[in-house]
Amino acid sequence: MMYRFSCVFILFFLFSCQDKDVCDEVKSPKLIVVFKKQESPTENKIMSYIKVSRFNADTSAYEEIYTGEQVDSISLPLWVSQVSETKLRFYTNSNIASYDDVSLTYTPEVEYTSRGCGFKRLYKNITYNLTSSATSIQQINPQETEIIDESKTHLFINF
Amino acid sequence: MKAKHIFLLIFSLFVQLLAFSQAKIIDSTKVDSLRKSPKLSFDQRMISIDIFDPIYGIFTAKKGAKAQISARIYKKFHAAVEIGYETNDFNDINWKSSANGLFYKVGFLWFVNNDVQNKKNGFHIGAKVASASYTETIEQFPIYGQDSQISFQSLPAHSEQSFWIEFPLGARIQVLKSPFYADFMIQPKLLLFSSKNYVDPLIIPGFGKNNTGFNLGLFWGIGYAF
Repeated sequence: MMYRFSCVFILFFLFSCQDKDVCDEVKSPKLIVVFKKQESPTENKIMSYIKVSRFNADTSAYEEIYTGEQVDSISLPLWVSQVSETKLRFYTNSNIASYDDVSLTYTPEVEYTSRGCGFKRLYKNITYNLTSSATSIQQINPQETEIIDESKTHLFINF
Repeated sequence: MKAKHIFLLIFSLFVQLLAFSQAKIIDSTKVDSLRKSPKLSFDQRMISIDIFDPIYGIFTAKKGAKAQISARIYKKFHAAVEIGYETNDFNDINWKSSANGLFYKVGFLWFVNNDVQNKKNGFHIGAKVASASYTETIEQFPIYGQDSQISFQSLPAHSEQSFWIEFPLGARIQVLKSPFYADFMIQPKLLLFSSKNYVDPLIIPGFGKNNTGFNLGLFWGIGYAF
């Protein structure tokens, strides 16, 4: 009898060693943007310089979220708070202060992942808007109306 | 936190001293004669009320009460039913929640040895299946972005049901010559199943925090033999 109970106890402790606070990087998906040539929209455009800022309503200022050189695609984090809009500002020349604004309006939703990773934000019914005063960006071509993962390109931007 | 630990230490020492002071020498020949009884019985009845949780609740957010009724049914096997109510909070790594509800446990205790002068004294091991029906409110859950963003939202109160098994180890010692007994149990618990409303329950009445699916409970009770 004692032997059986001992076995049960050993199994008991062996099966109780998983920690729910460990996260293996399942987080809110980013916006995947691919740059295209306006004169030849099937070809990717390698940007010699690109900087992107995101508008923060709390500080009423744009904050840099990405800077890169010689890239033809980037991924941008949108707001994970319960706001329904993320405003992005694209700079294509480090020496010139001109920029183009692209805003995304969407329906924010959440999806549970795990105890450690919490929830991730999903963006549904997305509408992309390019401001009329755009200088470098010629056109935007939305590819997806929702961002639920990073397996697809969500937006083409033509320069 | 420090006060809680000091309380636990003093309480544990007190009950252990009480238990050892009441320990009796076991006559093995008489124990053997007791084993020969093959009949089902319903004696050595006892109701035990936990006094640990109400005192522990003074220092922490965990508040509640629980009681156990047991009776010997066959040889050294005692049937046991435990019922309790608990409210508790969970506040850990960007999560906040609270839960309150009833829990029930049914199982058996097997007395390893009995004191022949008082059959109700003894050490026991056992097994119980347990369930809790409770309401959980997630007051804060995290939403993580890839650029170190964290946002928080809440979920409304929702009903949950959880099931677990536990394997109590304990002892029961008469307090002086009274009908009262010090009834102590350590309760290792393993969560088997929980209903899930958006998320796995964070805290379960009767089970505790659901971090690893395993918990260790305590029952420090005063038993009354009837």
